[in-house]
Amino acid sequence: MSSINQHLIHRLQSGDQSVLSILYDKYGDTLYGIVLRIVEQDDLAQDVLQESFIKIWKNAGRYDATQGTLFTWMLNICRNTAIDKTRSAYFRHKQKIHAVDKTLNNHRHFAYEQNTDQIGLDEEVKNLEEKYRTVIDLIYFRGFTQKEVTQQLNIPLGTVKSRIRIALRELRKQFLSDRSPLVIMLSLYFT
Amino acid sequence: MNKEQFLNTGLLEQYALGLTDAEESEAVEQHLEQFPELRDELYAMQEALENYAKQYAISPPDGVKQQIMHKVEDTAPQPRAGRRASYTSGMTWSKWLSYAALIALTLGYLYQSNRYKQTRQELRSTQVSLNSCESQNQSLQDSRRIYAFISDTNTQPITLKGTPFHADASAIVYWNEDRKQGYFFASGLPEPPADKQYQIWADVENEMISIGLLDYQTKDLQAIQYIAEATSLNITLEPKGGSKTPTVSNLYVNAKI
Repeated sequence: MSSINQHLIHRLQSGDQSVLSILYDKYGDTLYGIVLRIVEQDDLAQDVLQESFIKIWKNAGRYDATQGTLFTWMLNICRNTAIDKTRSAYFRHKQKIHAVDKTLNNHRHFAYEQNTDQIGLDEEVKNLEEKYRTVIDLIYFRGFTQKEVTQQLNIPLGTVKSRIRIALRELRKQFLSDRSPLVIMLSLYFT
Repeated sequence: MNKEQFLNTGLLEQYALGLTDAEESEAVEQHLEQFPELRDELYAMQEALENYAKQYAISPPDGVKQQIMHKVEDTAPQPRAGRRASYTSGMTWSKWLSYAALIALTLGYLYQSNRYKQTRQELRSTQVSLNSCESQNQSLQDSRRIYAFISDTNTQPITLKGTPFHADASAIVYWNEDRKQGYFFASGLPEPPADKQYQIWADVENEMISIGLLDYQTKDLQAIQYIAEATSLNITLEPKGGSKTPTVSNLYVNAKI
């Protein structure tokens, strides 16, 4: 956990609104991209992002750094809000009107284009094998339980668990290999 | 369960992804308390996931942020959880500790690297003075050997006198039959032109044999070859590098032994 994040959390929990603005600039794009993958509609995704940030603001005091990173906590809020939306009658109604797959694909394509300047990311996506990526995407981005993954992919629970471990190990390896020891050391202290 | 056993269960990975049920979460949190280094593992996993998630980033439309910030102004945050407060002070303390450690490490590194540079410089200058000591020692030993040679009662000084064309010229050779050594001293020879050099010859059964090329610049005695059968010594001026046979017209000094 970096110390600037610690500092941000502290200020956020003291009711400093400017921190929410910083968090939005830092994580808004990533969270919006994930929300959009779940609800698959622009206007809904914007509503979800807005609701989620209000929840983050209201519930900042509940965030417990011992249980994980701030981003993970924020992502959980966004994902749960998005999943709730997909279960609502309103969502099912709108889904009939929208050609969702097309929208999603357009956005995904757009997302890749937007991020080509982020060094190493394209490579990283290629490096994580499809079968691991599928499991991580279903769980991390779509909020599937492990049981739901076994049903969706028709693989045993043990396989799901081992794929999770391997995927995380690979992601960590790739994440670290992008950064020199000095950068890691500095980022531990200063980012 | 020890740390390794716990890591092997894969529970931490599931916890990082929010997949554990209440009972499992409690077990993980107990281990996090017991082995604080596991918390770094947890953060590392979540940061790797965060890094992975960034590839799906899409910028929301411009107005969204303004709407959020506008709504936030009317909403008061809920009070902080009690547990959080103690943790914050703990983290602040450890944050300062880690800053202090970083500063101490940096200073230590700078100090050590400075020391290292100084030590290297000292070593270099010590090596330079050692070299000069060794060469002084060498020349001192040479001088002692020459002094011992000259003070040897068997050493015979031979004064080479100028020929009629070079009446003012002279030179001294120290000749020692016992040690079979010869030394030359260019005391009274005129300075040769830059392209010329004095060469010393021994007369052996009417044949002139070169026994040394003389370095005029050297102020010390110079070793020359000793030939027992030599009956006379002769110094001629020759082209630099010496000649195979002496140029008789350039004979400067000579002496019989």
